[in-house]
Amino acid sequence: MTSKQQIIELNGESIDAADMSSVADLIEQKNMTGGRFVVVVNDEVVPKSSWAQTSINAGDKVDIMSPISGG
Amino acid sequence: MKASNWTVYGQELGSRLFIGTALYPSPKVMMDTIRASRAEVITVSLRRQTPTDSKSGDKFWQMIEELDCHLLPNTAGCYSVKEAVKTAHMARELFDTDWVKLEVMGDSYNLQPDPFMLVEATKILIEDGFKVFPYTTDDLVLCQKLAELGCEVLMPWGAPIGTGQGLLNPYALKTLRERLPELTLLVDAGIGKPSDAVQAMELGFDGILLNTAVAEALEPETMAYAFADAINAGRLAYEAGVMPKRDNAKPSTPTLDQPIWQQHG
Repeated sequence: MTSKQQIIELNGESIDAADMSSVADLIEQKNMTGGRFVVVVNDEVVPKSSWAQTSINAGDKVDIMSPISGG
Repeated sequence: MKASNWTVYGQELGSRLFIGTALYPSPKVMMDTIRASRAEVITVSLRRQTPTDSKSGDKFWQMIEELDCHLLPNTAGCYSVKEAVKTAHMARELFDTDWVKLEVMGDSYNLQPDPFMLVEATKILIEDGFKVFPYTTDDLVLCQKLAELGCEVLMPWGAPIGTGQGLLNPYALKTLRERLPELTLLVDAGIGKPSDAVQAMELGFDGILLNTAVAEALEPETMAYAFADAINAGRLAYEAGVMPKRDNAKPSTPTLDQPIWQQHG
């Protein structure tokens, strides 16, 4: 049996996050653990300490922000 | 001889140069140039990951960790208070610092800060616990307002970002120095050559933030050495006390004991 589809927007692209109930699940399934980035869900920063408790719901807009050079 | 140390939001620093990490021809040149500059503070930024380039942020992070400098994240590209505040919060989490170079642009042609939104965003971020380094115009009243809000550091422009035009309004910058003696002032943006930096430092500015002037030099590493020496020289000159200008010539060779017929009064 497959989970019900749960479409979210990740970095501007629609993905099915059916098997991802939290930000921690999303990071793990996208093989992003260990990198330097910050997670923003619906314009709110989610600190790393809150990834496991922050749920992912259909329609959420998730941005992964990385360091870049700047002046 | 090295100019005196200084303090930025409680952080003691030796170098009076803040340097940007953008626009270098290669990552290696960036690393060599920043090391040559002897800067202890580097500016950085952040952006949304793209699906095709999800690891470049990690590579950049490894490089800046190697440099072991204090990080000053910017809010470049923000044209509203909401965007700037949100970017600052993201930067605080990403770079683990409460320092923020606050940029709220009002005009895309000359990248001039919007003074009204800058004040509003500064107020919010100070309430949120940030140590704000506002990128501002050289308007005295605006700078006074930012100081009243609690900014200990202000970063007025010398000229628009990336133009290399030097100090377009030395009078305004001199006025800021005279009227805001307790504040830490850096010229941010517009510096094109080391003599521009010397001019700002001789006016009593505490430091210089630059990027393009070094990154777009034919030899960035060599130019970084030049700026480091120039900024130190300018500060030493300010600390030493520049002589006042006179309208009339005054002989430098003593006239005492010269025969009377050689003295011209």
